[in-house]
Amino acid sequence: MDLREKTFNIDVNHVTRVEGHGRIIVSTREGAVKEVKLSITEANRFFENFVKGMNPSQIPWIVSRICGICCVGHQMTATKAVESALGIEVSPQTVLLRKLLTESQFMQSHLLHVYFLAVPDYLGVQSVLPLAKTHPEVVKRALRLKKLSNDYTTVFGGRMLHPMANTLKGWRKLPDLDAVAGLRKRLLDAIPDLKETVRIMKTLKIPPYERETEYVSLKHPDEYALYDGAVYSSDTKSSVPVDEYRDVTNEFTVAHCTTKWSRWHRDSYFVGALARVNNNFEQLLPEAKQAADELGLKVPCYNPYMNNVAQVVEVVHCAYNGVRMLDEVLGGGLKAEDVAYEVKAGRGVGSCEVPRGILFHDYTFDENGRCVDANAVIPTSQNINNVEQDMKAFVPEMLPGMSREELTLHMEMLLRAYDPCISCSVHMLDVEFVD
Amino acid sequence: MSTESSRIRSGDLRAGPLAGSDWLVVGVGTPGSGDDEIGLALVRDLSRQAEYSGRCRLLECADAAMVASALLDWQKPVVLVDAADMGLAPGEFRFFSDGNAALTVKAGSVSSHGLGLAEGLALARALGHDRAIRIFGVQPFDVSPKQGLTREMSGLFPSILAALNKACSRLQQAECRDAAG
Repeated sequence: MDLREKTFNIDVNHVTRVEGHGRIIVSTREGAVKEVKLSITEANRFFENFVKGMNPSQIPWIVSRICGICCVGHQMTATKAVESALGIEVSPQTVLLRKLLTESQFMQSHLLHVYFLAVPDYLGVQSVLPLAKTHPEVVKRALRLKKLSNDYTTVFGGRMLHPMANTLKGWRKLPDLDAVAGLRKRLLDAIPDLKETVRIMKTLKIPPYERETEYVSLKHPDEYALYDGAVYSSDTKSSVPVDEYRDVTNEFTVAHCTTKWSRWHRDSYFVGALARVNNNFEQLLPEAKQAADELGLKVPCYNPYMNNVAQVVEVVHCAYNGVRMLDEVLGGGLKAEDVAYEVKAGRGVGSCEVPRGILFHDYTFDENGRCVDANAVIPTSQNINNVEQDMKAFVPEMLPGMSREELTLHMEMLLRAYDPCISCSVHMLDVEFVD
Repeated sequence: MSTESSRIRSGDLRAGPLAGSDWLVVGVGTPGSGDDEIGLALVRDLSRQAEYSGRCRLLECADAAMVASALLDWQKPVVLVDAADMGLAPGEFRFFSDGNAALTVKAGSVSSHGLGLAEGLALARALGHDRAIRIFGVQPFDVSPKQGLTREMSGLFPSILAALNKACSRLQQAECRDAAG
């Protein structure tokens, strides 16, 4: 078709295989792009209001319910924020257990997303269900790895979803060391499945579109930052403390989204696996670097579709790092710790990386230990602006060579590549009426 | 999440005997979602009876991957007990085989939040699970966030439990007949 004749509207009213409800609108007239919008229309969640009046130890368990996929991440981030507000210090044992729990969820979430939500795009099927018929071994491997990572979370969290073992200052019920040893063996046994995952990923044809943007993630001097660190920008090559997160996210609203948008040093920024790998590549374990090399992921990488590849690299990192940390647990044993704490007035900010990017929680307590203010800034709300900027950049590039259907698929794949959790991203908008 | 939609195709869905001799009763549901917990509550009660010892399992907040993994691991005939939107009056129940009902599988619209029991069954079947699957579905009153069952469902609970018990007993008797014959 002659480019000048290309006039169509794309309106994907419900993008599939993402968490929540997102809408993509593209309008072209005679070969020119007139409108590109990513619209989020989900209702607000009100979690920041639910927790007002709650006592400190309740909050991490309640906000875990923001998401069934990132429940560990919300719980960890809230725990750190509340502990910061109350001036609670935690032991190296608790930090180790939290890192294990955190990385178990990275494996769970990334494997689910890559195998169940993203891979079907690349193999030309609508979902994982037809894939089970055409590629049963791929799906069986996905199920094995997913079950392993679910059990990983259960060993440290007490249960797979919304774990209850972690609390302020420590662990309510320590993991069973026999279960820890069993998990270590299963992680090692899963290495062939991980290698096969890398091999499968290598066969997928990733769309070649690039747009350089600002990449934001936690950065830690000693390790690949998932549990802790300061907020790093690829633009300034420097970090700021997590307490200054509002200066990072600079949230604002747009008419076509119920989620808030973010921007830092330029129009938009990218958070998530690709941002982490770009910013912290040198701290990946050698096995993960090797996987990145095999998958053709060279940093800095500006192709957002490669976020799925970065997720696989992180799965490899978390599996090998898990074995290393499990050895530490088995070598040193675990001892019960006093988790009593005193309440006081104060404000605290916590931040962790969660599978979809950097997450911030912020709580303020009165002198009776009641929560009086809360704020959470979710990775997807930070990413939505960047996704739309990508769409605006890529549609004109794609338009000459693609049919309406191909363009639609590529836009959906782009949104899915970011692994958005739209349900989590929708927050109460602060409205101030002016007389 | 586990409140899968199901459209009953035929009027008479009395289940025949389960193939195999070592079947499980599996409660499926989500705590904190009102009547979506009915499957878990029923199977918890059932598990206290001696004849169900070792035969009961619970799948809490199970996504499709968990359901499919469990079925493939167990490789046994199962009775899945769950809240199901069957277009019946709230509190009514049906006992049927997965082959006798069209479970609405959201093949094109799945998210990992939305991959539920129906998708899990479809996935297990596609991956070669060939054992009998019976579903004891209960039409919920309300599945919005709420601790415990609704008052109405709690009132009907003893009669629904008795019906589940009877259905499972019939299966067990049929199984014994098969073994003897």
